[in-house]
Amino acid sequence: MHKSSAALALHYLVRALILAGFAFFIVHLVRSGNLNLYIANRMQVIVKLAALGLYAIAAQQFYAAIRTWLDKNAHDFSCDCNHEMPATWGKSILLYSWFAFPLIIGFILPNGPLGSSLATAKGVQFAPQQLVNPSADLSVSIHSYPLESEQLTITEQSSEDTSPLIQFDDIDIEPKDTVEPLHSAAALDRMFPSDEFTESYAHFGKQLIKQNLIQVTDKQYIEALTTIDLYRNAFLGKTIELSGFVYREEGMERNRFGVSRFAVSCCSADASPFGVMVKFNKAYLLATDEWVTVTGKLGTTSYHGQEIIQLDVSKVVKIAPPDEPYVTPDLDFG
Amino acid sequence: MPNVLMRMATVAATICCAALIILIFFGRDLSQWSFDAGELQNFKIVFLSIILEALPFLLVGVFISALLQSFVSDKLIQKLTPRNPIAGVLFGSLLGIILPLCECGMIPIVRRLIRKGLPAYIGIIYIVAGPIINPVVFGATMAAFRTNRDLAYSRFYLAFLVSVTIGLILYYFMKQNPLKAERHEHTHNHSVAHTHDHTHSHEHHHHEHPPQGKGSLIKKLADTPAHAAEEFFDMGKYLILGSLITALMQTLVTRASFAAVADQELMSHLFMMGFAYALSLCSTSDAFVASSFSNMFPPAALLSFLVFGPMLDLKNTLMMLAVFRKKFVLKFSLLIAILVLAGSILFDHLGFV
Repeated sequence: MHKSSAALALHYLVRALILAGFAFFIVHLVRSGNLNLYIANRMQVIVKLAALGLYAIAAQQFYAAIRTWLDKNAHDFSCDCNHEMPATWGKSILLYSWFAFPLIIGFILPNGPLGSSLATAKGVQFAPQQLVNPSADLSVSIHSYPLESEQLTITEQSSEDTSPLIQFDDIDIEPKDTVEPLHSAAALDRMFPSDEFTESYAHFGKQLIKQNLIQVTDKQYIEALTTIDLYRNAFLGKTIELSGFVYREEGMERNRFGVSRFAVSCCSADASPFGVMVKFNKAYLLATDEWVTVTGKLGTTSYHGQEIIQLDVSKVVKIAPPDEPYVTPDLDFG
Repeated sequence: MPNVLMRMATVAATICCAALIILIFFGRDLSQWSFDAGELQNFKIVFLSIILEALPFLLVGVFISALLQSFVSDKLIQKLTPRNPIAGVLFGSLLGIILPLCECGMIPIVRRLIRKGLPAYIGIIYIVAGPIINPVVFGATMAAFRTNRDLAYSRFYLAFLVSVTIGLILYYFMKQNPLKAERHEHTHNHSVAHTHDHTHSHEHHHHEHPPQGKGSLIKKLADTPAHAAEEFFDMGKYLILGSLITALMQTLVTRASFAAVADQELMSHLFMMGFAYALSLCSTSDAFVASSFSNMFPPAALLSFLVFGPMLDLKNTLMMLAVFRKKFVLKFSLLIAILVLAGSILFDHLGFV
């Protein structure tokens, strides 16, 4: 049972090293910009503060190690609160290697953003309107929107349609050159019917539709995709640009892939993948998990028996993985 | 000492069994469990992100616990504790509003408070209710369920009801101290250490180590990081184990295999609860994850997920096993599971969600 002060000093030293190791790992991630891979932006401050706390404890343990080593009569640095040092060498080694394990993984394995294999495990959300409107029936047999440009006529919304549910069937796509008059307030209201839950999306949609090229930004990635999906009929044929990694899963056609991003609200453990299906004839030129910016016209396609939005892509640019690979739900939205 | 090893072995065996059951459930065999480079990287990111995210909360917890140890006397705790069980239960359930911490931070604090004389039932209700009934989680849940406020409010009502019920049950039926009997073992060890110390540093030991709260302020402040370090190594090992298992499950088990159970009422509840247990998310972020399931599962099942997960999950079970007796943790977990299940089914049929 008796512990020599040299052994005790060694305990303190190892503990100091482990604590400092965790602190140093956090600093290392901040310096290399890789903390973004682990923790969402708004939570990073507290993780950085944790590094400070860890340093403080490490310093105290280091001090305790030196004092115990040099001064055999130094006061007992362990607190009087029912903790014990591991009793045997074997157990000490087991305990400290257990703490070293995440550090070793952290420093040795390569860093990189979450990718396709996790997206497959979690299932990519290709129809984000279900977040707002979970009861939306997207089965292909019920809704089907022909995409031929000959059908671009404007019809009045039938007056008996007073259902509070959002129905888009009566709104058709406007040709581009007549865009101006169509963006009157009344026309917009008809294109973006809303209830209390979808009001903010309708409002956002009215802003988006006025742009000739709709760029999906990182800040409102989920919100933009949800809006476009929710009011897909209004956006059919519009040109949309977005970035993400190439996502593929079994059974996807050769000319298709998903452009996907992980939405992370606190840390990567709560990551959930969002994406847009893309049709691109030279899709085989792109590797899975490669980062791209795609530009294309909005249409729809069928995916596992659901009708989802799809971009018919004309332009693909390969990009480097962004510094902030994940997107966050925009808490200020709406 | 071998009994510590035994304890770890039992935990490890339990985890292995659980893993096997999951394997059987999802019909995958081990040969498919080879990591490729991408999966390894994903595993690393998820594993370390849970640890990184939990570290600050764990540190806050161990620091507060250390401060309590150094500065708050047992007498003060006993004086402040409500005598009336109803008041005690309410106090425990609402403590999270003043002390919003996630469960990794709570367990060391509660252990300290119980050791200092806080009735165990109040401390345990705080562990159960605190991760849900607090302002941070309220904000996050409202943001995630912007479109389903009923579900967001139900989360808090149900959590409150469940924790009050648990509190009352614990008050009337819990006769033993639920904490592990470490104190006894420790005093024994300590007295051995004492006798040893006496041989060469007799008088020194005595005034350097006052029994309780008589040291100078500086001495107490200097002691705080020492307490914190001890607590950190005490709780940290369970945090790492919990994160490891969670990360493995997240990377290896596909969500598509869930779809089959979503239609049956009981199964969907049980499934979402099991899922919440295995994921071990922090309660500030689980609402966002739950909302990503809203197209697959009925709202009542999501309610089970939202209430059960913060109260009980893999990570905090392991941490509780470090502090409480095994039998108690088992009974207590079953009680939570039954109450949450019954509660969310009841809420569903009453039309609250």
